[in-house]
Amino acid sequence: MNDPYKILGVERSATDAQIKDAYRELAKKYHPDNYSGSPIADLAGEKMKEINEAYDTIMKERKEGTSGPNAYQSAYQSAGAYQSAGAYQSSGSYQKAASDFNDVRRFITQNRIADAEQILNGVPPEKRSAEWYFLKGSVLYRRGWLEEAYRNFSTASSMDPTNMEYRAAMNQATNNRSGNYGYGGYGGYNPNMNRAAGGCNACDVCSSLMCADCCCECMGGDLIRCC
Amino acid sequence: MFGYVKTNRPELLVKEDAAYKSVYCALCRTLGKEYGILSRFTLNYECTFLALLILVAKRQESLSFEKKRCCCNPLKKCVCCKNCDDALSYAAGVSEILTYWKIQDNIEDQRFLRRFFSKIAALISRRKHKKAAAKYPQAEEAVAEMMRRQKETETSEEFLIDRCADPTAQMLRKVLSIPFEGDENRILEELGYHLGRWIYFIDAADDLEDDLKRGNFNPFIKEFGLTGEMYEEKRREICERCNEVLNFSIPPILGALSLLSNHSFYPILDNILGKGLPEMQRKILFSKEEGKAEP
Repeated sequence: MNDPYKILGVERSATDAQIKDAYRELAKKYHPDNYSGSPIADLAGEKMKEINEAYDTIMKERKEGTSGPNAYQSAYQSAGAYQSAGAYQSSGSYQKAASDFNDVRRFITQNRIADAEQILNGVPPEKRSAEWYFLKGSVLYRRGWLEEAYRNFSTASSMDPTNMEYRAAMNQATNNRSGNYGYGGYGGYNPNMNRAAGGCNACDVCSSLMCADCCCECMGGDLIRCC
Repeated sequence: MFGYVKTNRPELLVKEDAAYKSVYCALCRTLGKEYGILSRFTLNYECTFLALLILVAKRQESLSFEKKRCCCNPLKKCVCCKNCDDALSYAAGVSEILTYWKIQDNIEDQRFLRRFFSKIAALISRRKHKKAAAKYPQAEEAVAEMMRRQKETETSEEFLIDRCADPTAQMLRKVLSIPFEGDENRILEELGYHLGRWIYFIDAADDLEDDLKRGNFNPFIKEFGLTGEMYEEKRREICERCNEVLNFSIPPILGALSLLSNHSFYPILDNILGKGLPEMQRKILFSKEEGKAEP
């Protein structure tokens, strides 16, 4: 197995707190929510597993070695919040009991998009339920047709506003579109949030100097001789 | 469609900026060496990004640097990246192929004097393109197919904005993933698709006003049903809607990128995709307007 310290990107001499921070950072980055509906979600899942294992190994080593059992327990438990990834997967893998489209859901989890789409397209327009629109949206999202996917998600959630699954998909899409993507604090541009606040361009410099010059002249002095 | 995938320089570390420049200079040299001095003019940010991406995805770490005289400015010495010939050759080949097809496209769209210049450029690029296409037939096929499909989608009866972006997205998906197998191939396919889509849309957003004046095809014009003159209020609203479409592509791009990691060039890619792309959106959609708003 690879060096667990390398996987978390920390030095061997790092403190427990530093390791915990590094682990949290990575867990946030590879969190399944960031990959929901993505065709490479399985790769992110593997990465998440690797990180969890590396963290467990390091903490186990340290527990047996130097630090007391309490230090390990508390660090692990608080960091364990990200372990809820497992809980997510059960909903993410589309295994709900009451579904009219079990085959489609299965195909989507297996990345067999063409098969899933074929079944969906076979449903006549008058029989298309909220779930149909949601699944159509999921298929389109995987294919990369994001705008159509968004339209289908919004149809699904307006047809059945109480369904959490549709609402979650819709919320995530809306967030992504407004530039509030989860990790790292960036991910798109939000025009209503001024990022350049406090910035100062060449024009600002000149106009400030001119103002200063005028002020000086009022008071009888002079900042810039030529004007 | 060139010049949109750039670094956000103020956010880059000095050492990262130097590394980026070294790849840029090395790519320029490779172009000169393989396709002759004129092809150095085809150097662009997209292909520099491609070279960096290949180096990161191949985990090619043992790079060394050397100082070489710059061809455009003989008084200046540039630091060039060494031992990354495969990635650079591929990026140079793709650059030639893309340039050739772009010129062909221009000849069809332009008129009079501009068309004449494009024809001269086409004469120059023909031989270089032939060489690059022979070396990288799959990349050539991907770009040629995009050109074929693009016209079809624009004239297709049922208009869908996703369908318009599909040819460019598919092209970049193939071009990025050709040199790879297995997991890397899948990651770069995903990254390529969404980046291609983003490039198509930012290009469309950039041309929006010109196309509106001249009555050319533009996916956003059709999507939002725009006609004639746009007033300030309306303009702002349209820009925000374009921005939403562009924003939607960013999470899949960053998600794919973060599955490639542990390379000294990784932070540069993170800067380009995570901060460079949003900055470009701001420049194209919102900063022209800022300039106008000031008296």
